[in-house]
Amino acid sequence: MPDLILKITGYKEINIGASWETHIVDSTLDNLFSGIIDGFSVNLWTINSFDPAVIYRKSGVDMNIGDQFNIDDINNGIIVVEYLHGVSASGTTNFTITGAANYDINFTINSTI
Amino acid sequence: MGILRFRIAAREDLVFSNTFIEFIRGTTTTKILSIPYTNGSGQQVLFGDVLYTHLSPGVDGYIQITAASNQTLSGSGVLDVNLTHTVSATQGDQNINFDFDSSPIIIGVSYNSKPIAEDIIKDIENRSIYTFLNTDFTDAYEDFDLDSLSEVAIFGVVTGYEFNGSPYIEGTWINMSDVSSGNLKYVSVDQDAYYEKDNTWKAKDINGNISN
Repeated sequence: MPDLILKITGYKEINIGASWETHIVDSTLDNLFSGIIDGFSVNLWTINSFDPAVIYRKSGVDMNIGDQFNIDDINNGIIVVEYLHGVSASGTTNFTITGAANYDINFTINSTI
Repeated sequence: MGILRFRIAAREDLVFSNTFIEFIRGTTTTKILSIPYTNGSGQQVLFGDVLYTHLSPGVDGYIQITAASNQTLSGSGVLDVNLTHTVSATQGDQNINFDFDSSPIIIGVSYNSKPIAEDIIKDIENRSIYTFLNTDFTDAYEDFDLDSLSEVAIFGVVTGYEFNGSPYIEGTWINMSDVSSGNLKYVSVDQDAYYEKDNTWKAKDINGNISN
């Protein structure tokens, strides 16, 4: 009898908001997001580009280039980033921060996360 | 002077009606066939009497027809026979012709093939619901007779599969119209780790033939 095999990805869901610190995540990504949150109390982020290894979601909906989120979205925990578990990846997500120059977030994900 | 006299019986020949039977290619099968007759005049056959043989057992094309029981052919009735046939994967329709008690019997034989179902491997996301498409199955389906795919069934541990909004029950046949209506889904587990959901499946063609 032939096989019917479903291969289900292991994208890991990480809240960037209030519960961010509770997740064991890549320290670079953690620190960068924390730095942004700490450094800009009210800001608007616009996604200019992101690495295909990472998916950003706002309220469960995939975000694309040009989509925006702000500090309240982060604090409310509705912004999540997912990346493929078990795969090493690195890349850059470029955000435009209102009132500031473009801000690059460099991330590194390793398979132990 | 002595008399030389011939007594000529008024026996009428048996007349058999043409019959038809279908076999599945690539199999060896024994089927019972009832052959209607008229003009029986007490001819007898015993269970297992060989009425016709073509080729040898196990060889593609092998046919053997034997009496299915002890029978006396009187008036009108049916002659019950067992027809054993080994069919190649590409056998075309044919007639079997043989005589019984000097009366011709013609059996029309048609053939159909079981559909072939191949492996299906899908990449889907965790924390999501995957709705199956017809092409998920038709792309992994072949049929020698070009019979279309009618139904599919999934076997094994089917946890996570939903059919018409309810948990799918292993082995339930699902009409392809239901698949195209989006009624077959898989709800992936809400977990971070990669995993594989391994099942098997079968295909049924429009003639009711089921894949291996």
